Amino acid sequence: MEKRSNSLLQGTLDLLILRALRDESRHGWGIQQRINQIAQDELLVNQGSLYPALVRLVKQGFLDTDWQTSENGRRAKYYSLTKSGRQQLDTQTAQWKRYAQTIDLILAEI
Amino acid sequence: MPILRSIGLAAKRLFRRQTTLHEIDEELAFHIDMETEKNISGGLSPQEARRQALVAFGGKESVRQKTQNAHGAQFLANLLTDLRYATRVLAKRRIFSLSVLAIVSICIAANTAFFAAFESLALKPLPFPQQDRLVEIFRNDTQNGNAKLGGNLSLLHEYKEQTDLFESVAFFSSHWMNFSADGHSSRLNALSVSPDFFKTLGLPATAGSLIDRNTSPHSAVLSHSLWESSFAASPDIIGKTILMNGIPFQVIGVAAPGSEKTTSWAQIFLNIDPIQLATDPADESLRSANEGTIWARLQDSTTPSDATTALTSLEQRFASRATDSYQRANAPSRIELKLNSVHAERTQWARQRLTLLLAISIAVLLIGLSNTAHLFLSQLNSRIHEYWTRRTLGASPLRLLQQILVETFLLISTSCLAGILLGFYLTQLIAQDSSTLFGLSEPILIGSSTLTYIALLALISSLAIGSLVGLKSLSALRNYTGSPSERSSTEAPSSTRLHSLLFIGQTALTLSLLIALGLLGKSFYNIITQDLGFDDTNIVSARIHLPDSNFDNTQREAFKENLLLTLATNPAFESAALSSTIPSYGYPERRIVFHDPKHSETFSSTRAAISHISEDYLATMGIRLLQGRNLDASDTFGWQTPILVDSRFAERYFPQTSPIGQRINLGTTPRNPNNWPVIVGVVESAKQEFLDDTQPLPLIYFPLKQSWNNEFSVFVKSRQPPDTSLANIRQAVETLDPMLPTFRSGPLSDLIGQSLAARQGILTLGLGLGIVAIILAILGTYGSVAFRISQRLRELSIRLAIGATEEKLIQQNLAFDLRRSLLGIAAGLTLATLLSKFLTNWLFEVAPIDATTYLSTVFFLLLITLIASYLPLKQTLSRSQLRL
Repeated sequence: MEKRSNSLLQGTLDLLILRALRDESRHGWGIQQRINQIAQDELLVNQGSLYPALVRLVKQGFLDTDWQTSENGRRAKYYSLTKSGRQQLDTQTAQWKRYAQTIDLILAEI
Repeated sequence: MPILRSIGLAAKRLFRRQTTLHEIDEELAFHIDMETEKNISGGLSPQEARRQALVAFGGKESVRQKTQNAHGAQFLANLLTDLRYATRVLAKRRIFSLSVLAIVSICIAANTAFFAAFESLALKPLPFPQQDRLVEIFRNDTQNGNAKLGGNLSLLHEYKEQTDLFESVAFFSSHWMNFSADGHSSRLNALSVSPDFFKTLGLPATAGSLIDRNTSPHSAVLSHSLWESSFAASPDIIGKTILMNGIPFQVIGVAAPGSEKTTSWAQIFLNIDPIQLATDPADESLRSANEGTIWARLQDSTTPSDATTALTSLEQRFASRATDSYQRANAPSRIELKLNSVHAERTQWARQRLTLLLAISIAVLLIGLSNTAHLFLSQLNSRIHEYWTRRTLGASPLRLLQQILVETFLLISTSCLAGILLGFYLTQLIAQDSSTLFGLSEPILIGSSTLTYIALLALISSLAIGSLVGLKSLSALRNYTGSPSERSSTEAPSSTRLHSLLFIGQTALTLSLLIALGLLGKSFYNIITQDLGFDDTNIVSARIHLPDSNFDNTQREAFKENLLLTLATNPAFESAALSSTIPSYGYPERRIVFHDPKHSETFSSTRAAISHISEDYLATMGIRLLQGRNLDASDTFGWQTPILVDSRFAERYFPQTSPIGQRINLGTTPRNPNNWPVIVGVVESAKQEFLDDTQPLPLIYFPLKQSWNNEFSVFVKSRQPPDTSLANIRQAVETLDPMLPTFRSGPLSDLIGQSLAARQGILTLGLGLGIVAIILAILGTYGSVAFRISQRLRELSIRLAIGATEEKLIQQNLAFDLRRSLLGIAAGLTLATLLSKFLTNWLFEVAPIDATTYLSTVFFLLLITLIASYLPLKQTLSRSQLRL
């Protein structure tokens, strides 16, 4: 059976987190579920990377945090995009698309 | 903004560390719980659901650790990396690092020393319990340059009754006295104190008892320092008898340490005679007298302004019942009652001087920091490729800024540490002359306030220079593409602007500092070259005190007469005289009244200085007689005393008529209406007041003969060496009384010089800092121009190649620097004009805006700037660096 790697490429986790928060604010578990759901388990985000990445994005000013009551009635830390986070998402998305196209082009030529 | 955000977050993290840890745990627990619930809804048992959730989560502790690290440890790790990197870079760039170290450490050393002196002398509390409740009550003569008038026993009695305002009130007056105990004699400063003196100070006795209302007359209390230095802290001294000016006093106790801080010299405390204490509060003359100092301890419920208001209305009530003469002399528009904290009054002298020195030090520091910024910006050019490489490898602008800030902070804080060490040695030097320079002989220590001040300076300077260099680097990186040839291309306009701004600021600061020092220097020159009105050449002086206990009136007169006779017969002396005052050491002053009461009403202030002289004084001192006659051997103090006045007196009080024959008296009208002193002569004004006194009083000379004076100075004019003259004077005194010491002795020119020691010392320190400022300005200009030339090497080479001459290039370069200098000079002149107002108290016969000083300083600064600007280009051209 073909062995597949479902680990994330370096630097893409931040982009996925920003994307997962584009439409609504979520808690950490919610972000992980959202990424796994969109990626249909092709990519697995582990907690050891997720939570430090969230702290880093907050420190960079791309995310805001707020303690709210979750869907099961418990207190949870919610993350949402800031204005600069939204700009960062646009920039990173564009960069990723250019990068992917270039790689595609190279692979097609080889 | 990212820096601010980072700093804000760091501060927030520091204070919220525990909360953050708790929040991480709560967030991770929530994650596992949500995963568990999801598994349960998938059909697993709660135990299995939780087990699988934990497995899926991985090592909880590891995730927790990584998250915590992301919160703070990353910053610390970066900081350590940056510190290691900065140390390597600065060690490699030795010349740059040593230049910054030298500049900043010298500037910081001056700031350390003067702030330490400020902390030790002006900020340190006095050693009295609750010293903030201790106030001095005095009066200001608003029409005589706000001269401070002391208190008297009459006012003491009135204030003592205000028990709702004061816990206690004390009066003291200071006297230099001959002190004898156990067969040893010396001269020391004694305070005559009222009964509540120690209660007001709040000091207990170390041994025996203190002066209070039940103390017997002629009791003495030793200060702790005198007890230790003269009596080896022996308790046996209690109960023994000592002699003060020959009068026996019984030692009843020793005051706790701190009593000697009452004045600058206090060593022993004598209780005021009860007869002297029993003054009549209604006596207008006594109430106006200026005899000593009044201190009071405020009630807890009283503020200084409440007490001032209450005492002012007391004075107004007294004045409303007083004579017209009293009302005129003490009108609220003339005499203002003041109440100030004892600490502020005691440290005022030191505070004024140290504020001036500290302001000069800060100006020098700003010039030094401007130079440092120049140096940092200049080395940016050689490091741009390094920064570009780091950015290319992925370093964020914030990381680059952090690295530059750490580097700046490391170098500046190391320089500050070196500055503190250097400052420590400077502090030791200042401490040796603390008493002369600042009037306080406290030890000067580098305390916590000084260290905080230097730490703040280091932090602010590092942040300012680091941010400036960091932002400049980021801005330069935007246009840099990594080609090494770009580094020597023409300088960016924004960089030129920044260099020019620093240059202009530095020029402005240097100019204003040099103008301030120029004004102070000119004042000092005016003081030492002023016409004293007498000739101090070859004059030697020594002072003598005749104790009342050993000399009655007849013996005193006989002593003076015999002394003058002995001195006059010495062939080595051209002339000899006696005087109660020493020129330039100040004088007693009194209000005067004129025989014609209408004449008194003409003047708002009728105060005059007083001196008692022997008949040969004017001849000995070379003071010219202008009108009337001199005093002669038959003139004595007593009946219709013949007096001399100086030309200042004549001009002020008798501008239209001759003063000869006019009658005046001290204080009030004489008890015998026929016994008015008469003016018999007018003499040239001779300097009696302090040499830098800008508002001297008119002077009256009374005959010393038959006067009450028991202390006077001998003045002899002789061509023999001063030491020989002094030995002759001592021999003459010893012949008359072998136990009598002489003091304040030496050549008159030296004595006058000593009175200027404080001003000279402050000026020397200020000029030292001024020289540092000039050197920094020269180095700054030289460095700035050299950097600019290094940036424009290619452009200049091309211009030479296409026909420009060296002279043309030099001219253009000088013209550019001249324009920048003129802008700096304009800013400096504005700054100097604004700041010179604060120097008014220090100026002597120099206007705050003195055209000569301003113009010569501008010319001097312009000259050194242009030389420092000319040299780098000339050197570059002569090295043929620009030939293609």
